[in-house]
Amino acid sequence: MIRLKNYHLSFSVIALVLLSGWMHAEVYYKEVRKSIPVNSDAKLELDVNFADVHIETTNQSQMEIVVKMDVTARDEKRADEMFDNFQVNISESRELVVLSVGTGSWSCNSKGKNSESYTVHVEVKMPLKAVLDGKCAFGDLRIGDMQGACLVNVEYGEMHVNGLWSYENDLKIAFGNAYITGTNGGNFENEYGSLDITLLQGNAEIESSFGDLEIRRVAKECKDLEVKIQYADADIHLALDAGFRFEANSSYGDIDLPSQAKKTFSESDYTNKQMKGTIGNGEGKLDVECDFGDIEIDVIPK
Amino acid sequence: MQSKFENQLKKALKDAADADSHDPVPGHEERFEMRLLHQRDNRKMRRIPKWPVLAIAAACVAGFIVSIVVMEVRKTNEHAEQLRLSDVSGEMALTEAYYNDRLQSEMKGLNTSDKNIRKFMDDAKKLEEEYKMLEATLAKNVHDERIAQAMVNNYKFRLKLMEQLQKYIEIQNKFNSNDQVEKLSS
Repeated sequence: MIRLKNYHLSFSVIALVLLSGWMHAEVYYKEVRKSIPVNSDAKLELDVNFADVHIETTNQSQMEIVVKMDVTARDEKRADEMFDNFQVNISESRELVVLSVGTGSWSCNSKGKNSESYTVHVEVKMPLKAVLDGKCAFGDLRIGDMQGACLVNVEYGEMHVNGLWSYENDLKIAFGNAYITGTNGGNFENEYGSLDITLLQGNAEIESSFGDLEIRRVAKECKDLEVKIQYADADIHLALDAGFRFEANSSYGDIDLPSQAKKTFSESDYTNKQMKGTIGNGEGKLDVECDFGDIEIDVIPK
Repeated sequence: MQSKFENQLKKALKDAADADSHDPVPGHEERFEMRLLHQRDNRKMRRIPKWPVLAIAAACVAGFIVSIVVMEVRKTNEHAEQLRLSDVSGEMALTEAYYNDRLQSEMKGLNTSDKNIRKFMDDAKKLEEEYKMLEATLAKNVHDERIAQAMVNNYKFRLKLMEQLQKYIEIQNKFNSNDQVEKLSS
């Protein structure tokens, strides 16, 4: 009996040792760092996949790029294999810097269910007036304050922006939400994800489908706002001192106007609603079109 | 005849009596004892259970086979052009089956002559194409959770679209029945 117990014990110990050896994995780190002297209005062209990107701006004529890669692997050899799979390419000139980051074909978890996993973070510091162009997919994009145009396409990731202070922004966000604290306007397109703008103080054209739109304050500096929404709701809050001539069209949805609105035209049938009029001094132009969703416009105090 | 038999019997009895009177060879008893001890030791050895050794060996072989199969599957997946959610895990396979069933039942019997319904169908097709793109992306990045999640969301969006479509059909049906009532009353 005692002999049998000893066998069980030794067998368990062997199994445990084998199992812990198999499960054991360590974290390995590698980074690519580059500092590039550029013009203050240089362009950064991005093509980033499976990585989070964080862009900050500075007053220096310098672009700093750091790509940080963390991998969890069972040994150094496998970690090196994984590092080799990340493709980081940087091409540079004073006017244009091109950064591409991605992975080749491989079998590994981004957030490990098995013992292997990886994360890639891209950090960029660029001049305040630099232009940002390109696309990011399967990762989040965070941007500080930019005075240059932001012309990006984000897919399958979230976008968080502090300030887009150019008037020529062009953003496309799909399959992820976007949060913009402040902007001077531009073109915005979001599909299958919501768009939330805290302050809009310039002209803008916004198209949303399958994702709600909320503009928390449209300032008086905005003189032309065009909004098209499909399969989603639009919530637009106008500043008290901002005035618009408005036209709102809705199919299979409702239009809710503020009490300050003066309607000059209103028509509705079973499926469509159309309203025209002014809000405030009527200086600007506000067009809202909504299919299969509701429009809500209101006026907020200063 | 009888005397011959008797003679043989007598001889046999005499031989047996002679044999009994022989002494054993010196050391016979020790050798006999040694043989007995050896047999006992052998019996002891045989009593040791062999199953742990066999179990370890079997586990090693099984582990080896499993790792080869996993490697092969991974290799196959890496070279596959498209992967489905069901290739990711059993859970995902269930999710995919659930959404597929629901979508198929929602799409049944739609009136495609209505331009709004056609638009719904076009949007659903766009999402389906996007899904195929995700399948191809998953094949390049096997088991990436972000892609698997995007695929699940894609199904959710398609279902949301179908829900909107149902609302639309309900409104249209209501509108048509009201219209008919008005015509009849006038």
